[in-house]
Amino acid sequence: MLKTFRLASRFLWREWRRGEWIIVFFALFFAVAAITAMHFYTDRLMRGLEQQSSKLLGGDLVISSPSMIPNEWNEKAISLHLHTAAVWAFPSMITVNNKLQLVNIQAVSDHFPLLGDPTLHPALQHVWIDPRLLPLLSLTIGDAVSIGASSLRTSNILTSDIDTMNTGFSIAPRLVMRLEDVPATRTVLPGSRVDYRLLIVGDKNSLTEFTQWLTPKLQPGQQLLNVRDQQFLLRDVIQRTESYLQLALVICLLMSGVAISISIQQYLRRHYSHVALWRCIGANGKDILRIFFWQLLIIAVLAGALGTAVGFLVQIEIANLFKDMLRLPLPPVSFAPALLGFISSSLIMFVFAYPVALELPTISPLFIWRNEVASHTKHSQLYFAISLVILLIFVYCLMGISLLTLFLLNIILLSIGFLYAISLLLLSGIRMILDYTNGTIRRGLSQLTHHSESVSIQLIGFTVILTSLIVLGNVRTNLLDNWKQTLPQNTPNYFAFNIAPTDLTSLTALFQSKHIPLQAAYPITRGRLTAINNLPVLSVIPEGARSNNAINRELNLSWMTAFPSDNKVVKGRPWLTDNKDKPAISIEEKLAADLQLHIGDKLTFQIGEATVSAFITNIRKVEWTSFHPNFYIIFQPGLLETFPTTYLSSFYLASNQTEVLNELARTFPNITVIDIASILQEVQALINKIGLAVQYLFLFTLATGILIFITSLQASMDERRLTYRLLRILGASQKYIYKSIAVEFLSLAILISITSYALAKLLTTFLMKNLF
Amino acid sequence: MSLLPSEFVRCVHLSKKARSGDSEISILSDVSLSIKRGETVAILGASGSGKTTLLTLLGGLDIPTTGEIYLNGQQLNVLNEEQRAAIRAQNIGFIFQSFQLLPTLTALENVMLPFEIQYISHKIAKAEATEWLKQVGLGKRLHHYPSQLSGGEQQRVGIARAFITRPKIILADEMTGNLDTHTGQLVMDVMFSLNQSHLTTLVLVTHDEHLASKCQSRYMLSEGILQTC
Repeated sequence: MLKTFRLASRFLWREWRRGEWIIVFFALFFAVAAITAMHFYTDRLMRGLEQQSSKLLGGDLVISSPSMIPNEWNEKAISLHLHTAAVWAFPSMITVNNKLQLVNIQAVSDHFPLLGDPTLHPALQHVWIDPRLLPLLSLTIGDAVSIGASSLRTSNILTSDIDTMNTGFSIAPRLVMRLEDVPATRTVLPGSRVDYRLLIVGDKNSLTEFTQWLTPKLQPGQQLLNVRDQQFLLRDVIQRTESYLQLALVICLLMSGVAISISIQQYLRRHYSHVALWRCIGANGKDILRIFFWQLLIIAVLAGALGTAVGFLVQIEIANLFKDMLRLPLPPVSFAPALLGFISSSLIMFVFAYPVALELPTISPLFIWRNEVASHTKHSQLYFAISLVILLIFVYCLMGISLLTLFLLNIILLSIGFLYAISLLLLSGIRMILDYTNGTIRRGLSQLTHHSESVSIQLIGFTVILTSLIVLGNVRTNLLDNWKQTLPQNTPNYFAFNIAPTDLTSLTALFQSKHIPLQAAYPITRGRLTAINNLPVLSVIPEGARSNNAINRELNLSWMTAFPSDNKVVKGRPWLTDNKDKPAISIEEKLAADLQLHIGDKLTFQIGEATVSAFITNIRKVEWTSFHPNFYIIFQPGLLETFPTTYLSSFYLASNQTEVLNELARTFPNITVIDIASILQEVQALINKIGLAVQYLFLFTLATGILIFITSLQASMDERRLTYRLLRILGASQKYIYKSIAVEFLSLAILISITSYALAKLLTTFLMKNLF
Repeated sequence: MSLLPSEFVRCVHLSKKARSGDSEISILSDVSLSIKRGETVAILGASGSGKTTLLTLLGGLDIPTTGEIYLNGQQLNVLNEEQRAAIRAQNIGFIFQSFQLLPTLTALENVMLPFEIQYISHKIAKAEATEWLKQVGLGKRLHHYPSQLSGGEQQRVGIARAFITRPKIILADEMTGNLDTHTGQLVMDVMFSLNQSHLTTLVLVTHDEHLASKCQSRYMLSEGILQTC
């Protein structure tokens, strides 16, 4: 083996110094550099985005509980080397200068915040306050505020830079204080309504272990939240971004595979006569294969090493380039992409190049005289099929590509057969029209038919590359558009609820006078789900659904004739206005799935002392991330109107219009305003960052595609060169040659463009429907 | 059937047919031939007469449709391609009309090639190749690439490559076909002198009567039928 290796490396070196292997090497090198740079960067980007999202959440994992979190849980987390911080969120009254104000207190332990600057919390006996409190209470920083039995000093204002954690929507201006100061205030007493939170950060394995340990211990009302949690707003955006990054990576892999295939084909075609000579002077078929095996491996390792190193440097450059635009702190690189670079380099080489090399031992020494081209053996086709499966498994397991992306990859690979058929059809079409053409057009077109095999390979290869790039571009545009639509610029950033029916008209008038549009007002009655089909809820629902919040608290029940625009009926039918005998309700899709409720089920609600029953008429899909008021349960009008009702509305305030809030508080003291402006801003900013990242990723892949395109084209020029050199000898003018080349490549380009466009259109539709 | 002690090559009723579309064409018909050790043999014939086909059969590069070929006591036509390759490596040296030098290798490396594919140490291969190149008068052209050598020089590199393994037989296919008369003459002189000093059997395929006249035996191949001249 060592002998063959030595011989292979010697042969390789000799060919290398004469310029052979360079195209294969560079095709692989570009591929590895692109894949690793992208993987290095996206790995950092994704972790960065997750960290940013975790920051919004307060931790990688957050336990939210209506009762005190057992100390045992905290101890368990610490024993797993996880870091924890505790936060209690509760409403309370504060007094300043004889003025009373309801605030939402966030009491934090001294490890808070776990993410970001750990010093960003108030000192003991100090509080940080929402800027809205300053005019409301005629307060200045440094003044003391009374919270229950304590007096604490204000020392800072909560701005978005220092206050990114979200403990639910604030029902009042916020105030951050230290947990240690809470007992002295005597604001939290047994039975007080407190959202107890334990924030947790640490490495993935420990977090998984902790999650597994904790999940069975969770009681009704207790929740474990993480970035990917269904409840969490950015989950969807993050998952789509991940899918896009994976798609880009897979496409990069595919493009480099095509480039290697094309360049290795060209290389080996040039070397048939070399191999025939080796056979002539007695070389053994197995030895020839071994020599090529080692040569491919050496190239793969060298291109892998250099590609990974360059990929590493490129990602630093990319990170620097986009640092200001993204404004997202990126975590340091991890080792995984480097390893992936090496593995993908070897895999690409052996999947796309080795099957071609497998043909070599079948080359007859008679090739020297007869120029007989080896035909594809079943052996090499089987090898190609097996190695392709291995590559797909690798892509699936190591790169964490989703099954659906893999499916897309398979469609592209399957379309190779289809493209081959198209290329044959087109070539025979060209042959048919050839007799009707003259001059350079005839020369160019006949060049295509003379090199029919390599033209087919180019047509397939370039169509795959172009299709992939168009798909990537289309998906990017659709994604960005979707995201823009998700949260338009004037998305309501304040919710007003507890609006008395009598205040509704004057409230609308106030907003009209300020020229601020007030969104539709929804009536709300609070009620608890008590029975399903006349049986107690807990006896009917599945075990896993017992902790569902919807059955452990009162729900906001609303009624309306038409559903909000972002609600979509997925099962059943919308209200029938004339259906008075059978009371109807609509239920949200996920809640129905969790509680295993179906169309026709009868639900009974306790509203105050009374009970109301209705039948599920339809199931709705709700966009929870749309920042619009949404309801789990909506009644058909006519059933709840007799119960005490308040209204909920929402509105958008620009940053210079927040004075309205104070006027609102003065005129309608009973109305509660929920401020989601800061969280909305954060989410919008994050989506913009992700959008930018996706844009640049696309440009990077496009650049890689173009490079690979040029490299492959360069390789294919070799065969043509000989013919054109001969034509020059025969007296063809430079102009004639250029025109012929133009005709040849232009017709090839037109064929490729049309096929790619059609294929990309189909694939984009499929992807947008299924993956994004 | 076995070879006589003095016999090195024997062909018995060889025929070779090839398929061309739906029809079958006969390239060689009933060729029988015996070549002694150290003998120089010329096979003459016009283009398309089957000379090269006969040479490829003698060299174990191809197998006949019918008939038997013996080389150094071994029946070639019953062996598979790998077994024949092993025999070629040990016994046969080839010289080609178009030289068949690898363009990426220097003259020295081209000559080393047959040793290298037999895993003979680099040091020995290099020393031997240098020696052979000196013998063909290219001692100062060791590190030149084929593109930097003249046609005559390239063919001399081809001769050195054919002789380096000290084969028992040299099969030369129109070796002066791509050279002018004068250069062809010089190259032939080199080859015949090496042949004499190493007592190698030589089979020369040519259409050059003058060249053929230098050989001990001459055969004429016409439309696939071999006759003694």
